[in-house]
Amino acid sequence: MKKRVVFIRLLSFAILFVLLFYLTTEVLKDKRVVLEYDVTSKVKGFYAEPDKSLDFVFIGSSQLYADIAPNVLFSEYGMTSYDFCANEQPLWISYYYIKEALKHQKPKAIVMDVFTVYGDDYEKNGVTHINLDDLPWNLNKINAIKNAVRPKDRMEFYFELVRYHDTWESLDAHKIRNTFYHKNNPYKGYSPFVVAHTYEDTAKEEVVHQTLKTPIPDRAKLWLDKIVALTKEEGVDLIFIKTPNGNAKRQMLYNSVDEYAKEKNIPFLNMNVIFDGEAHINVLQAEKVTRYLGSYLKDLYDITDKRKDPAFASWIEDSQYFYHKKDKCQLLSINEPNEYFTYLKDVDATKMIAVKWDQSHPLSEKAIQYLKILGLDEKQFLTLQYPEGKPFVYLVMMDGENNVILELKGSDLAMTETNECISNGSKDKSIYNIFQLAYDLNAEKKQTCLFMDGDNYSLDQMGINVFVYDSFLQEIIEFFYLDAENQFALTRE
Amino acid sequence: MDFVSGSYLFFLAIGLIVFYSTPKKWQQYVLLLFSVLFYCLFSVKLFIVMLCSVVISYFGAILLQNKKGAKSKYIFVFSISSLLLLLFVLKLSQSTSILNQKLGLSRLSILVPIGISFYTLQMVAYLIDVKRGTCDCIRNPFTYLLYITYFPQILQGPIPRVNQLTPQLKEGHTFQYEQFVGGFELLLWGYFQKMVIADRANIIVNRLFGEYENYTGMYMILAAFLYSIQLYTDFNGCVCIAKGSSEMFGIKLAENFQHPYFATSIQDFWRRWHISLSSFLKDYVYIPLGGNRKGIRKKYRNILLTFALSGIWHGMGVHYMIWGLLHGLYQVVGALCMPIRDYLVKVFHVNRNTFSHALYQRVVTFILVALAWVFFRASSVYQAISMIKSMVTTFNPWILWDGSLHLLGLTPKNVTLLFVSILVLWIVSFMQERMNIREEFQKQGIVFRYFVLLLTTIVILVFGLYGPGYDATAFIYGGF
Repeated sequence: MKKRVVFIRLLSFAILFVLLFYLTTEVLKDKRVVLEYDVTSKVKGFYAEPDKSLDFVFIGSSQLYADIAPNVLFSEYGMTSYDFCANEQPLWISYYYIKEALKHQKPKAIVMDVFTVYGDDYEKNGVTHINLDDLPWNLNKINAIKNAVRPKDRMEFYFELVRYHDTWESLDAHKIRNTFYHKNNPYKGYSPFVVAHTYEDTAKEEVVHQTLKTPIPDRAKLWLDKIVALTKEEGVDLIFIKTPNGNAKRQMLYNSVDEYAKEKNIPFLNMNVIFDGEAHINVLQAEKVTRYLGSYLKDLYDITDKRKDPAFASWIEDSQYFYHKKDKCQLLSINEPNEYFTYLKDVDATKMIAVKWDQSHPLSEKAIQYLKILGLDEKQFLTLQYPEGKPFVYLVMMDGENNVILELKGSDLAMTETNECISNGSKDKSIYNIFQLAYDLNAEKKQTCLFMDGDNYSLDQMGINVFVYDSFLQEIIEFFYLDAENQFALTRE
Repeated sequence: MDFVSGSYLFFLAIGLIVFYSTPKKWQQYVLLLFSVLFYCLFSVKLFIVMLCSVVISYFGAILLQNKKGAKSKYIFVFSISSLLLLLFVLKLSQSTSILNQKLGLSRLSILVPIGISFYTLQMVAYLIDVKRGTCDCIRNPFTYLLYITYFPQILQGPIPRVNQLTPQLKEGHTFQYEQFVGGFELLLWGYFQKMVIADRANIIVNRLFGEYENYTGMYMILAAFLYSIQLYTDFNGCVCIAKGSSEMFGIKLAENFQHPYFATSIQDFWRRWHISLSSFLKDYVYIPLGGNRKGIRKKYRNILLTFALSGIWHGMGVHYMIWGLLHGLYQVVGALCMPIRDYLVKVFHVNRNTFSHALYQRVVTFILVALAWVFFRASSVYQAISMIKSMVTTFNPWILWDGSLHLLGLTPKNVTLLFVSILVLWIVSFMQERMNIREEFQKQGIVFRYFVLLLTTIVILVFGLYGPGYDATAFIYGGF
C-alpha cells in the first residue's frame, strides 16, 4: 500500500477519533445550568456577550456572584458589567479568567473580590473542575490547569472524559440538550439567592473593630502580584473589593490586603466593614450592596449611560429577571397578610386563590379585607348557594394585572368539577402552563384544587389558600394559607 | 506502568514512532531501550533483581553450549536451581510478608520483581532447549536481554519460546498497515475485556468472596461464575493488549487462549487456557517425567505431579496446590470412569456427535473449572469448601431477579451492562470458534471497519472502569 494512502487513512481515523472523543466528552460533561450557583451558565454567558460591550468585569468567587447584580448597575446607573466568577475561585485561576476577559472585553476596570486571598494550596479537584471545565480550549486554559492542578491529577482536566465517563448512567435529555451550551445569561453572572443566610446583627461591629492583620500567604501574594502586573500590562484599571461576609477573622486578612493595595496604589473598597452580611446574601441585600458599589464606580469613572442606547435594549429585558426575583424574595420575607397582599397586588404573577369557609369557620372582616386588596368583591361569592353539607368554596385565578380570568363559585361548583386555563404569560411562547381550578365533591381530602400542570398546590385549609406563580421566571413563588382557625394568620408549610 | 493507563498508550505511541523511524538493524536496540525503560518505570531495583536471573541464564546457556558431558550437567543443574531458588525464595518471602502483615508482625521489605514467575519459566525453558540442543544459545547479550524483557509480554506473558520470538526481535520490520491496524484491533479487544468486563465483575466478586459468610446459595454460584469470567477477561484482556501492542511493531506473540470455556473436557480446557504455560508444563515437566509412555499408573502420577506444580507456580498457598490437584484429579477420574461412561452411552444410545451432547460436555466442563476457580480465588481451603457447600445446600435462585444483585456494589445499570458485555464476549467467542473473525473483519470495507473501531473505542472510554475515584485493579496475573 502506498505511503500516502496509509498516511491519509491513519490521519482520517485520528481526526474522526478526536472529533468523536470531543463530542462524547461534551455530551457527558456536567452541565451546571439549573441552579443559582451553577457556573456553566455564567461562564458560557460571558462568552455570549458581544465583544467590548462591558464597562466592568467582576472577578472572584461565589462571594462576588451572590452579592453584585449587574442588572442593578444597569437599571440604576446605566453601566454594563458581568460577574465572570466561579465557586471558591483561587487567585491562580482568577488570573486566567482576567486574561480571558481581556481577550474579549475592554472594560474600564477589572473589579476583583479578594475573598480567596487565603489560598496557599491546591483547591479540591471538584472545585477546580467547576472553575475550568467551561472555559474554551486555548493556551489560557492549559496554563490554568498547569497552575491549579497537581501533576498527578492533570490528566482528568486535559481529557475531561476521564472524569466524566461514569456519568453515562445519568445521561438524560437535559444533559444532551445542553451539549455545547452557549446562551445569554440574563443575570449577567449574578446568582439570585432568594433564601440566604440572614444578617448577623453583631457581625459588622466585630469586623469594623478588627485591627489585627494576618499575612497574605506566599502563593496568594505571588498571584496577586501577577494579576497587578497583568492589568498594568493590558492598560486596564484594577480595583479590589470585598463583599460583606461578616467574618471578623477573615477581616484580619483583608486588613493586609488593604496594606497591599495601598502599596500598589490600587483602590480597595472593603464593604465588609460597611454592611452586615454573610457568605451569600439574598437578592434584597445584594441590591443594596450593588447600589453602593455602583455609586462608588460612578464617582471613579465617567460612564456613558446605556439605558437609552438601542444596542443595549436586551439589557432592559434581562433586568426584569432580577426584579422578578426581587419580588419573589420580598414576598417570601413578608409574614403579615395585609402587607403581603398589598405587595402581591403589584407583582406580575399568576395568583390562584381557594377561599373555604363554613358555619364554624366564617370569613372574618379581616379576611374579606385581604381579598378586597386584590380587587375581589365579596358580593361575588358570599351570597351564593352552595352544595348542601359541603363547606362554602370560592376559587379564583388572576393574572399579573389582577384581572379575574377564571373563577368557580356557587352553582358552578355543583355543575362543574374542574375548569382550566392555559396561561400565555410565559416569556417563552413555546412553554405554556396549564392552570386548573377544581372542586372535588367526592374527595375526602383536598376538595379545593389549584392545579398547575397537573399538580395541586392548594393546601385546602379553612380560610384563604393562595398559590402564586411567576410566568416570566417560570417559577413557583410560593403557596400558603391564611388560617381561619388562627385569626387568618399567614401560615407556610 | 499499568497497561490500563494513558501513560502506557503514550509510551507505546512514542515507542512505535521511534521504532519505525530507526534503520532496521538498530530496531532491536530501540525495543531493548523501551523494554528496559518500561521495567525501570516500575522500579529500577526490581530491574536489578531481574538482571541477576538474566546473568545466570545468559552465561549458563553459553557454558552449556560449549561444555559437554558431566560438566554441562553441573552447569545445567546449577543454573536451573539458582533460578528456581530465587523464584522460590522471593515468592515465599512475599507470602511470609503478607502473612506477617496479617498477623501484625514486623514487616519485611521484600522485592518481588514483576512478572518473575513468567520470566523464570522463560529462562528455564531456554536453558533446557539449549541443553537439548533444540536451540542455540543467544550470544549477543542485548538480544538475550530483549528476549527476556520484551515489554509487551514481560508482565503476563504469553511465555515465549526462544525459536519463536528471537528471530522476530532480531529482524528489521517495515511498517505494514494491515498488521498495524490488526494489532490495534486486538489492543482494543483487550481493553474491552479488561476495563468493561473484568474490572466490573471484580466489584461483585470481591464483595462475595470477601464477605462469603453473609451470602449463600445462588450468590456463591454467581461468585464462581463471575470469577471465572473475570479471571478469563482479565488475563486474556492483558494478553490481547500485549499481543496487539507487539503486532503493531510487526512481532507476533504466541496464542495463549482459544476460548477455554468452550472446552468439552478438562484436557481440552488445558489445550485452550494459558496455552504457553500448558505447553511448557507438557514439554518440560510431563514428558520428561515419562508422560503416558510408562504405564497407566505412572501416567496418572505424572498428571497429578504436573498439575500440582502448576498450582505451586501460581502461588504458595495450599489452596493453589488444591486447585492444581483438582484439575489433575478431574482428568484421572475422568479417565478411570471412561469405561462406565462408554457403557452408559451404549445403553442409552447417546449420539456423541450431536449438538446437545457437545453442549452437555461444555456445561459440565465449565462447572468443574468454575468450582476449581473457587479454590484458586478463596483465601483458604476452608473458605472454598464453605462456599461450595453453600451452593448445594441453599436454594435461592430468586436473588437473580428480585433486585438482590443490585446490592452487591454495582448500580442496576452497571449490573445490566456487565451481563450485556458478557453476552457480547460470548457471541464473539462463539463466532471465533467457527471462523477467523479477525481475517473476516479485515476483509470488510474501511468505512465499516472504522465505524466498528471508533465505536469500540468510545464504548471502552465511556463504559470502562477507570479515572478518579476508581483505581483500576492490577492485572490479576501480574502478581504471579
